[in-house]
Amino acid sequence: MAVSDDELMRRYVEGDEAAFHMLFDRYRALVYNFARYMLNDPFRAEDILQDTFLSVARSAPRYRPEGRFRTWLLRIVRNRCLNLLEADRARRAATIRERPEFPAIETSPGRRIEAAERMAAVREALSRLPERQREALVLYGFDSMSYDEIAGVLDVPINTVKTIIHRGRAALARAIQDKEPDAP
Amino acid sequence: MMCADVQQQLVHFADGELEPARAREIERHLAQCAKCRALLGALGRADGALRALAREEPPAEATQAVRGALCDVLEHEQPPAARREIMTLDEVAGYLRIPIEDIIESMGDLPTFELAGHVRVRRTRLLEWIEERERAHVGSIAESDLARILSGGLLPRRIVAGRG
Repeated sequence: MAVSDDELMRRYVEGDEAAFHMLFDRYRALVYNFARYMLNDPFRAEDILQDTFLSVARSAPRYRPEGRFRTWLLRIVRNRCLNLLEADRARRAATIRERPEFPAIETSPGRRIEAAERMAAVREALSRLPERQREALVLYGFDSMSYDEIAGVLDVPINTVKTIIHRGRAALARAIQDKEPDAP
Repeated sequence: MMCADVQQQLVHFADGELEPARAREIERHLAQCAKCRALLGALGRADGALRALAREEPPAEATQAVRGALCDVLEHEQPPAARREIMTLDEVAGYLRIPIEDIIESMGDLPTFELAGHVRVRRTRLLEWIEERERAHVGSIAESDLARILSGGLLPRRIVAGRG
């Protein structure tokens, strides 16, 4: 059975450096992707990845082990991303600019899109969704993350999360279907 | 049922959240409507793509950079109350009160492991290793050395107690 997140945090606080690296390995993909799709920017997501884990390491002695490490971690990521997005909005108010991160793809007519193209279509569709829908969908995509836990990260009621995710999935499905020109 | 009604409920249908009667109505519609069937298929592929997106690894260079930064923090900003379980070779030398050069010479014997490209020693494993080595030789340790070892908390007391 895998060692719990809280146990790894406890071991780290007691001086076990390796325990923290295990936490990093466990969550680096989630943190990176959550930040990447929240910001629509893979490069800034790398900065968030580093900032987040350094912050967790430094605040480890104050962490309260209540079995909600992942929620706590993702809230840190989200707050950092929201701060960046807020700063972006302030900058954009001064200088309007467009920076598409996931350019539109062309699909050859007469064939179904391949997996890589489908991923690109989903990335593109995600980048066009409202911020809240985007972040909820990335968390939804992570294995074993419950609606309850996603609601905890986003700080909204569970029914709101369900609605956001249902609408987001439907929007992505339509985006994929639109890329399949031979579909009925 | 109209396509718009079906499409509005398609996510709930896919998740098995609808009442059985409603689900049967949608099944009947899907059997006749290729467009809604295709949308249901696209929903499955969208969910699969979302799961794949969430598992995408950060670039290797980024991971390595974070590990490097983490090593600095974990080594130099360890909580003061912490008793370090993972030790650097310098710390092992300080702990054993022997020169670092001697540690490096003993590298083949020491229970080291690699952590993010750095050589480390786990304290508990080091103590076991010392115990194994000293058990055979404890009888030959000079009194002055024994006092030094004990003051460093290096040798388990049960071994010393058993010394004749």
